[in-house]
Amino acid sequence: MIDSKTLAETLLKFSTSDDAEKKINNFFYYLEKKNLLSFLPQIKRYLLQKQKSSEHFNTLYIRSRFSLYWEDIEEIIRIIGVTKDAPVEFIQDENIIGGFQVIYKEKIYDGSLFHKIDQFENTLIQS
Amino acid sequence: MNTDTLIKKIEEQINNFEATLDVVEFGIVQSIGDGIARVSGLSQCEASEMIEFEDGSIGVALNLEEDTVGIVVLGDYLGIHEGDKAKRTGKILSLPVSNDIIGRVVDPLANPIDGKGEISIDKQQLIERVAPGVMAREPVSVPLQTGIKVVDALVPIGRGQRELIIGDRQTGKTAVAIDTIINQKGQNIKCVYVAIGQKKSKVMRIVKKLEEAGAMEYTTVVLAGASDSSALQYIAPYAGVAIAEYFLDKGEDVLVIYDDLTKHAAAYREISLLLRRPPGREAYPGDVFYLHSRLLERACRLNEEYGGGSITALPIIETQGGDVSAYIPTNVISITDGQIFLEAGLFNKGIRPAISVGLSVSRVGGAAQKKSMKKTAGPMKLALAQYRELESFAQFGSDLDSQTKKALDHGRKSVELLKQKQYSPISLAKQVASIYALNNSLLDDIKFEDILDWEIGLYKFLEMSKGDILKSISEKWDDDIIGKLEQAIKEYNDSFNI
Repeated sequence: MIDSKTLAETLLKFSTSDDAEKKINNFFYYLEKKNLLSFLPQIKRYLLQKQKSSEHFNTLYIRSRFSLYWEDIEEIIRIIGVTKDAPVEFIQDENIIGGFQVIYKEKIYDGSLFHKIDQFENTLIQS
Repeated sequence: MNTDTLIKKIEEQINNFEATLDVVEFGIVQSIGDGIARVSGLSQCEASEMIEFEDGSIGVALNLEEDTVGIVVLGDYLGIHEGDKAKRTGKILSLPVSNDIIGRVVDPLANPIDGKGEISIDKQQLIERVAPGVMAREPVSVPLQTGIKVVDALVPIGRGQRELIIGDRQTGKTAVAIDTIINQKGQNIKCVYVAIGQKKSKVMRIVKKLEEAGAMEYTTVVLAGASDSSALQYIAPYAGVAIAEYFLDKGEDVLVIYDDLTKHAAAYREISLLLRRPPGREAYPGDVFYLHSRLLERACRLNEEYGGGSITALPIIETQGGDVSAYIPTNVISITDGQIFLEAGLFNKGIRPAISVGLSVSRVGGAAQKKSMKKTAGPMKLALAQYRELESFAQFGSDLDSQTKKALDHGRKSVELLKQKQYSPISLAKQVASIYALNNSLLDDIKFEDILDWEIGLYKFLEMSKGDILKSISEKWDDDIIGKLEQAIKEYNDSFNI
């Protein structure tokens, strides 16, 4: 079944292949011939979402109670194994009480005091 | 937990504090609606793993697809939004259990809903568990007395058996199940009643009845009502059997009632359609048989090496227009070790419990009966079968020969004797006494209209003046006891006929 998601994924594949320009031109010609140009806004929206989630995926987010020195951030980057050019976003958050929390590529590395207290609460409840 | 223990635990935490990093995988909610969340990421997610959302609600990962994971939210999903994070918990769906769960009304996640406070936790019991293997099992040979004459005599149930209760709406299916629970008093059997898609008012009436009968002392009620999400209705029976397995693992006997599996199949159909799984016959997913087979296979009797406990299952199925050949009923009939079929026609005629002796069967049969009942029930079964054959000739009245008339009269009295009031279980010994009287022509002089009064009087008479005979019947069945019983019944009959 033809849907905007399938068309968008196809377009993405073409863009990374050899003779990408020719394939993309043929793609638009195909849409026009098959009367599928109405899918274009949805294809654009899908690609923008993908771009946004890709940026989000590759960004290193650091939450900390207090400001961190750049050396500390570099140490975190080294421990987690972040790619060299990955953008870093630092957020000062009082809610984590102490320590820090790092989010990078679908993983949360939680060393915050809030998390420790939460775990302790669960232990007490189960006792 | 007292204050000292609490303080010690806090001190322990402070002393053992380590600045470690906990790594948790998360995904992003792509869409949420109708209780189903589609989450991207979670590449390492396991099937049936619990997923935690940002608002604290929990879901179960049921669909592991190429790009997304289909998660069924347990409970309210209105606090989940597109773009929220969904974290893996690393735990497969389980519920906390302990001895304190007995006597309580809980939801399928073992949260108490009866307002009697928190339930302590002994261990986390997996909701989905592989059924015991062949070598761990023992043949079913110990009876489970329901206290219902027609069941104990003609469709006997054993501990570890699966006996289906099937019939149209309002035919007394739940009544049979509840009477069975009430009769387990003093038998050292725990009971779990799982209400799936039922009206909460109906379940509360049942709980009240169980409390009045003193049955809540050994019963747990798991409730996923009609207003609860289909996800909770889907896991409710598995939660019920998980609670039962907690006691099974300790070597105890447990009775589990699933009321009813028709609604359970409908809830699973709803979830599967929302997860875009391909629909099959009657729009049920292709694995609807497996839904019930893996549930009912967990009912078993274990051998001594594995504790010697048992789980007896009484699943309930509601038919439409008496059609036992429909999809879900035939599925469950083929899984269980027999069925108790309730007919609307019998119910309307006043024959209650409305159990059709012709269509009901127990595949365990006499192996799950005490000797006294086995010897007594056989002739009665034959008499009822003959009566069913001859019933259509009853209209000819005086044109029939004396033998046929006798068979018809005997059959009518058998049917009348098997009637029983709700919430009035009868002990094995009393059942044997009344059926023995019927089989041995000791009711020939009793008028048809007086049979039920005669029965009530007989039980009182035996209780008050022949208690030793009742006790003996429960333990053995020989010529001496038979002689004493016959003598006692004749003595009672003389006083009844005055």
